[in-house]
Parts: sequence; structure tokens; C-alpha cells
Amino acid sequence: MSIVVEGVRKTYGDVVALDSVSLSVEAGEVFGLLGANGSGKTTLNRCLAQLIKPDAGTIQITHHDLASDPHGARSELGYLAEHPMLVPTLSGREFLRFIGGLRGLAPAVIEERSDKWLDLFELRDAADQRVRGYSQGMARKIALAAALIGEPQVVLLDEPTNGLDPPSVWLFRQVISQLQADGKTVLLSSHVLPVVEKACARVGVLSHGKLAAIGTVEELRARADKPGADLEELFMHFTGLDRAILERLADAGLGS
Amino acid sequence: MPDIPAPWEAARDLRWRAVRDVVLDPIAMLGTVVVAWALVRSGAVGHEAAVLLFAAFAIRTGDELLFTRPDGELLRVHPLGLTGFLKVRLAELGWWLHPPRVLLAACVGAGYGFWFGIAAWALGGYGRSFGLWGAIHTRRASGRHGGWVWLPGAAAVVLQHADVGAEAVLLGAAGVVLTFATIAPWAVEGAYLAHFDRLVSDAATAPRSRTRVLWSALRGLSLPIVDRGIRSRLVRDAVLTLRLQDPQGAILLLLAPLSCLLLVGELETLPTPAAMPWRTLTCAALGGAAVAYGTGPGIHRLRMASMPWERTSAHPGRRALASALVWALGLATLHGAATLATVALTQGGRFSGDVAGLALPVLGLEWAMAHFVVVQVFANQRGKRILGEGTLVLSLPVVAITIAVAGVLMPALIPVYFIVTAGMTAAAAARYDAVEVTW
Repeated sequence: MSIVVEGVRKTYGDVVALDSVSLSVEAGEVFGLLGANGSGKTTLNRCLAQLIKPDAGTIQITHHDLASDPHGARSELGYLAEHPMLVPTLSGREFLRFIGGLRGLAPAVIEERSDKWLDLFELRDAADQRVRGYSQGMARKIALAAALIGEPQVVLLDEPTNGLDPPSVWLFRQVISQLQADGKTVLLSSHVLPVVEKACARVGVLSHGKLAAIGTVEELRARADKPGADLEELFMHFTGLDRAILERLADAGLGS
Repeated sequence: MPDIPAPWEAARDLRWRAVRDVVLDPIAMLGTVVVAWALVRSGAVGHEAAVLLFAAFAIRTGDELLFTRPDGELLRVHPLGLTGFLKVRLAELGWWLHPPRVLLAACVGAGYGFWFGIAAWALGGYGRSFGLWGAIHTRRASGRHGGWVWLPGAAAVVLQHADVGAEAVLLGAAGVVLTFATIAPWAVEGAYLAHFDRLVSDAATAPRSRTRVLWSALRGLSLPIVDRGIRSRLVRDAVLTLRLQDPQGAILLLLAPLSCLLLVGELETLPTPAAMPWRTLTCAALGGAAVAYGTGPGIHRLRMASMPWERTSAHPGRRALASALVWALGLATLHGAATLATVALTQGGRFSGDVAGLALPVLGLEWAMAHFVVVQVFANQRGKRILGEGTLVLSLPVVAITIAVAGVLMPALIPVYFIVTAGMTAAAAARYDAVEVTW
């Protein structure tokens, strides 16, 4: 297993962000983490990236326990945050050089990989511009390039398609497919359901900090007894949001 | 094959690129020297108080570097090694402590005990370890950022002037700090390994109530300005300044009142009573320059970041310039009033009879300097840049000297400055309207 999460709980004051969440992701698997805003997806990602510590539970990244071997786990992990963590005063190329340095890569390797990602994301012309001037989509692309430049074994992608145009979303999906083909493990958190449906073999649905469902889309259909349902219907079913929204519509006099 | 730098060294080198722009900035260096001079001349901050204030600065800056700076998260997701992040922040805090170290030396300087001088020198050297070690333990003890660490230093400044026989208490407090400072280099790594992960996680998930309090307090201010557009811009400027988004400007504004301390020293060593107006205007000009620069280029660049929003309002140039002038002239007025109050109160009110005659020269000087910088910044903006920013440093003294001379010889001439520059002011507003937003 590349990612093992067992009984993870995290609270912010009185708010329970994660409530005994357990899941595991196999090596070479693309796993989709679904959830509405505030369901706990980003909190789980930040726990995995060691930016925050869970109140209870254990996490392993490629067999490195985060509590006992945090450094080993970081070496195996690439993280694209929901709000890309960039250095605005650097150019795109300088930023990739910097991140390559943080990963301990040799300068020649950094240059080679930077060129590869800059070309793939069509950022070559903007490579020497400061990141501060990048559009939202460009910033997300350079942040993804930075997450991948160390060729980590496990990649966390938190809302990677926010602000991207359709061709870029398509490109992202191809990149994810290639990562899987290379044996990398990807945890893809998103509320853009079509992207998750196409990219992921298994999904987990977070609702109010709890893992409401986990499995392949077929397994979820069987559990919900909704043959032929798409991921959106399944998501609404397992989170209970379909009933809640219908009730609110009825209260507002907008539903039947 | 060339040596590959360790990951934490790559992070340290990047941070140096950011810090050097502030620490080695000529204006900041000049400001540090001026403040050091003011501290030596005035003796306003005694050696124990200086030690406590230096310690507080080191701890607060250490807390910011370890727990709240946004780039911390970017660094911490990468494999910098067990203590790599600590090494980066140790190096960075060492750079940030250079200016306060100069001020500490100025306060502790000649005339104090040899051993105390040695100990204070050690604090300067070990300050970075002490700051991070103190930040970790302050967080452990209070669970918060520990803004209270400033209180002992502030209390020491008051006590040293209150003549209440608190020397032993002050010496004891400074001694405690100096003792911990010598221990810190050996203790900081252990404290970091034992507590940092938990503390930084708590810091990342703590509610940011301070910001909400700040906003509501500013919104609640009943500023005597009817125009809502200008009022909202002033609140924005206040928030940006209080959040240190323009660090250089905020530091200059913080340092400006020290000119009053300098004035106290100057008034005590007057060669003749006739020199009083000149000394007063010199000190007003020094502080006024800090205010003018602190309300000029830096915050203007920040405003430009929100310029697309501003340009949706009617007459954006006129309103933007008006609010920038109100912001700058308001702070200049506060500094001018503080200067006049210093003249009135120093030496038991010996010069209080001269305050009325000094009011127009001092306030006119402060207003003219602030006005000049703001108008120049607006007139020379090109996109997000400000052309000829460096020449302001040269032209501002010319304006200051001219107004000061007029203020002493014929104060009635001061308003002429504002009449002469009316065209320049209008052109500055027009320049703002003409800037195309291409970012």
C-alpha cells in the first residue's frame, strides 16, 4: 500500500473536520477523494502532507509512518495544494530550480525536467516571467510541475483543475494517466465529478468529516442500488445532499 | 561533478534573496543609523530595557518565521532533513536581527559595565537561537503567538524613567534573558525536535481572531470623512500597514516617533536659545521623511495590486490621490503634533511659549514632505512600477530644506508650496487615470 490512513481524527475547536477516517490506496492507483466544500478533503490532504497533525490515528506514506519517519515520507511525496504554494518574486523557471534544489536534485537533472514540464504545459514563453504575473491556470500548472519535478512516488492533488480551461483539464487527465502508467500513486481530491469519474478507478466520498462510501463506481452503484447512476448521483446519494437540497427547494417554494 | 547543495541550503539561499532586499535597502540602513544616533543622543532606552526589547523582537520575529510565514508551508512539505527547516529559519533570523543588533549596541554602548556589555554582545550573537527557542517555549506556554513578550521591555523603559528604584528588578530581568540567551544555542534543536510539529500544526489550525478584531475595530472607527470611497481606502491602507504588508513602510512609520526622542536630546544641548527652531525643524524633517516615505512608494505598490477594483469607481485618479494624501497628511499631522508636544513638555515646559510660533513651520514642513512624496509617486507610476523612486531620496531633502528655511525666516511663505505644486498634483491624478491595467 502506498497510502494507509487509519482512524484519523482532526478537530478545529468544536468542529470535527475528520472523524475516524480510514482508507488505503495501492501503489500505482489513482484514487479520487470526493466531498462538498468543508467536507474534510483539504484537511486530509494537509495531514498527509504533514502540514497539520491529526489528533488521533496513524498515516503511512510508502511504509513511512508520519509520526516516526516524517522525513522519509516527505521524500516520497509531491503535493499540489488547493491554493498553489508559489514564490511570487521568482520566475517560473527559477521556481522549478528552487523546488528541484529542495528535492536535492542535481542542476542538470533540474534543467532537464524543468524543460520537460515547461514544454508540456506550454509555459516555455512565460518561463522567465515572474510567477506573480501568472494567470490562475498558469500558476496551477507551474505548481503541478513543481510537485512532480522530484518524481515522487505519491502525488497529492488538491482541486487540481480549479481555474483551468477545458484543454488544460484534459491535459491534466493525461498527465495523471501517465503517472499511473509509471507506477505512481495519485490521490485526487476534487468536487469536479466528471474529472474524477474519468481519472480514478476507486473513489471515497467524504461527508462532514466521515468517509461515507468507498469503492469503485460499480461497487458504489450496487451499494446505493442505483444501476446506471453516474458519479454525481452517487455522490449526492451518499452525502445525503440530494434530500437536503430538495427539502430546501420545497421550503423555498421552488420544488414539487 | 559539482557538489549539490543540501535542500535546506537551497531554501536558505532563496530566503536570503528576499531578506537582503529589506535589510540591505539603503533607506532601511540609513533609518537604522539615524535611530541608533537618536538612541545614543537621547539615552531614552537604558541598557536593561534594550536587552529586553531586543529579546522580545527576536522572539516575535522567530515566532513569525517558525509558525506564521506563508512560505513555511512550501518549505515544510519538502524533505529538508530533520532540522533543515530550523537551519533555514536560524539563518534568516540572524539576518533580520542585524538592524536591532546595531540598536542594541547603541543603547548598551560605552559607559556601562564591562561584563554587562560582554553579555549583551553575546545576546546579539546568540539572538537567533534565543529567538527561535523563545518562540517555541512561548507558544508552548501560552498556546498563542505571545505578543505579551513586548511588555517587559516596555515596562522597563517606563521604570527607568520613573525613578522608583527599580534598578535591581531591571537588572534581574535582563540577567534572566542573558542567561537563557547563552543556553539557547544548545537547547534550540532539542526544543524544535520535541515540540515544533505539534505547535506548528496548532498554529495552522488556530482561528485568526486577531484579523477579525482588527477589521471590526477599523470598521467601527467613525472617521470624520463623509466620502465613503475615501474612507474605505483609508481603512484598506490602515489594514495593509498594520499587517506589515509593506514592511519597509511600516518600519519607517514605527521609527518616525524616535525623532521626538532625538529632539529631547537636542534641546538639552542647545548652544543658544536661537538654535531651538532649527533643531526642532531638523528633527521634524527626519521623522517627517520617515512618515513621507512610509506612506509613499511601498504602500502605493500594494494599492496598485487592488487597482482593478479601484478603477471601477468614478474619478479613480482624483479619489485615489485624495485618499493617499489624507492618509499621508494625517500621519504627518500626528508626527508634527508629537514634535510640538515634545517641544512644549521637555525640560519642564521651558520652551512651551515657542510652540505657537513653531506650529506652522513644523506642520507645514511635515505636510509638504508627505505631499511631495505622494504626488511624485502618483505622477511617476508606470504600470506597477514607479519610475525614479531613487531620486526621491535626493529631491525630498531639497524640499525639506526649502520649507524649513521659509518656516524660520517667513512662515507665511509655506502655503506658496502648495499653490506652486497644484498643477503637479492635478497631473498626478490624471496620470493615475491614464494607467492601463495590464496585469
